[in-house]
Amino acid sequence: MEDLIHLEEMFHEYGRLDGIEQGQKSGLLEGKVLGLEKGFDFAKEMGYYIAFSEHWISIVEQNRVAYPERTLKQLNNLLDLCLTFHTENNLNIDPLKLMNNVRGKFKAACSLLKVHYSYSDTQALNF
Amino acid sequence: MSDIWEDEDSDYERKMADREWNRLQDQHGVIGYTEGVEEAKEQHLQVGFDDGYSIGASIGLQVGRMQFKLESLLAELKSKQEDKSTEQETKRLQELYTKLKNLKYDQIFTKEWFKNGHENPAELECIVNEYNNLTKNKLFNP
Repeated sequence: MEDLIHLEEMFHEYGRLDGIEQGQKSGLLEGKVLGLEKGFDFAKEMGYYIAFSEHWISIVEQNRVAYPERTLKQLNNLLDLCLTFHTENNLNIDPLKLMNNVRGKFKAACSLLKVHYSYSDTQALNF
Repeated sequence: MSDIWEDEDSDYERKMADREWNRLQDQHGVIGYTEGVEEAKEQHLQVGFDDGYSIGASIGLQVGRMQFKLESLLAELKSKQEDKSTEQETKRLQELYTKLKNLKYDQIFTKEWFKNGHENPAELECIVNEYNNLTKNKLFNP
């Protein structure tokens, strides 16, 4: 009987070791694919707003009188907020909250500039 | 005669022992395997995610910047009088812009990219080359 229990444990352990090897591979791959998707989607939208801010800051700085006074401040705030984004995954930052703040500031800046830009037709971002 | 029976007995016992061995292996090996997969997968998902996230984010930033600059450039071109000489170029700009706007991660990080050990994605290189060709002669600073 003891032999039988020993065998059961041995098979269990062999199976577990095989499983660990496979689990490591599939965990890394599955996580990586998900990370690629989320990192790409999030940063692509953020890159768009960064380029928008830089572009318009340069234009407004050259002709301040043509735009409402707070335009430059709004654009700089937007850029500063965008630059809090890092390409490393930071668990202390809520990406959805950050993106919603950025989108709000972007819309406000567009309104002050009286321009229309659209990052996406759907703007769906899920985490 | 008795030898024949003894042979049959031992053959029977061996077969039964093999069956029992396989049954134990199937039953307990599979349970252990499943446990091992779950345990290790959970531990490595976050590591894989963080790794993928930083690669995806670095490239995403680059693509997003290009997308805005093309949109801005197109708006600039549309506000000017277009002539026949720029029509074709504007069309190519529009096509690249639409491509970037709709670009998904799996169009960059393809099966080949995974196979080739994560070198610079070929699709991204094509996009960057096309972008540089289309924007290099513009007054607009890309």
